[in-house]
Amino acid sequence: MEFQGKVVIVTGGSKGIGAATVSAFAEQGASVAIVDLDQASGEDISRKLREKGLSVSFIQVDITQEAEVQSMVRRVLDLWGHLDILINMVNIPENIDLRDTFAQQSIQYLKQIERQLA
Amino acid sequence: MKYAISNWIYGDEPVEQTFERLSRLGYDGIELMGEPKLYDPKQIRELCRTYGLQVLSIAGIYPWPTMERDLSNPDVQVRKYAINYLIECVDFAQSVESPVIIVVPSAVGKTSPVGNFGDEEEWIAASEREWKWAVQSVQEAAYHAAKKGDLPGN
Repeated sequence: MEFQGKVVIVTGGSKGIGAATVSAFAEQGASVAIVDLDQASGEDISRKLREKGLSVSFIQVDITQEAEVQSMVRRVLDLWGHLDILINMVNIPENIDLRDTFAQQSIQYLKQIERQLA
Repeated sequence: MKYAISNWIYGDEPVEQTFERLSRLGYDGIELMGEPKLYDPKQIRELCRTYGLQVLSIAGIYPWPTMERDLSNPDVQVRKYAINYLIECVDFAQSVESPVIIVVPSAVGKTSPVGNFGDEEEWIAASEREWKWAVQSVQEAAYHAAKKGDLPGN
């Protein structure tokens, strides 16, 4: 039980390599937050691992939304009291245009600074 | 406050695509890469009208090593090429109604004056000469800009 007592967040944890990572940590004694936008898959793996007596919890989060991420971390701390490991496994869907994403995030950030300085 | 993104970061993407993106995402303008030969000013002005954007600046491109765009180079011919390039950028800025041109008075990535130097004093003297040439070169292009009138917005 290499990770007994550890608390882990796995983003993109509901499927594929993310889900395998969740299982591996949970089976080694960790408490694992399964963070994903996909509610059905997240709840499915969460239920299966809980049935095996493992400590996991699914939290639905859109990680592109900062407020949701902050809320998720608070919930993890409420559940298990501390946080040890963060695994970022979330993937970027093929239909996301990173050229758009950069421009969108940049102007949001700049306008936020402008508001704070006003 | 006006916000723009340089189309330089989008590589060889067609310029209309960049205009469309910046307009859609709420930008006020665009910075155009300082390569006047790549653009048709009439098309750029039309894109500005179509997408409600302004060309807010021209980003001069001065890569090192270069024999064409080093305004501080000890070779007078290199400086002439660089001044001509800057003048082309001034003309281009006026043609697309940009109020700002970004000028690098040497070259990006050039970390030392040109030449081999025996000691630090020679290096410092060469740096000081190149500084004067840089100032002279920018002044020469500025005279050209002044003759044509102020850039829009200044």
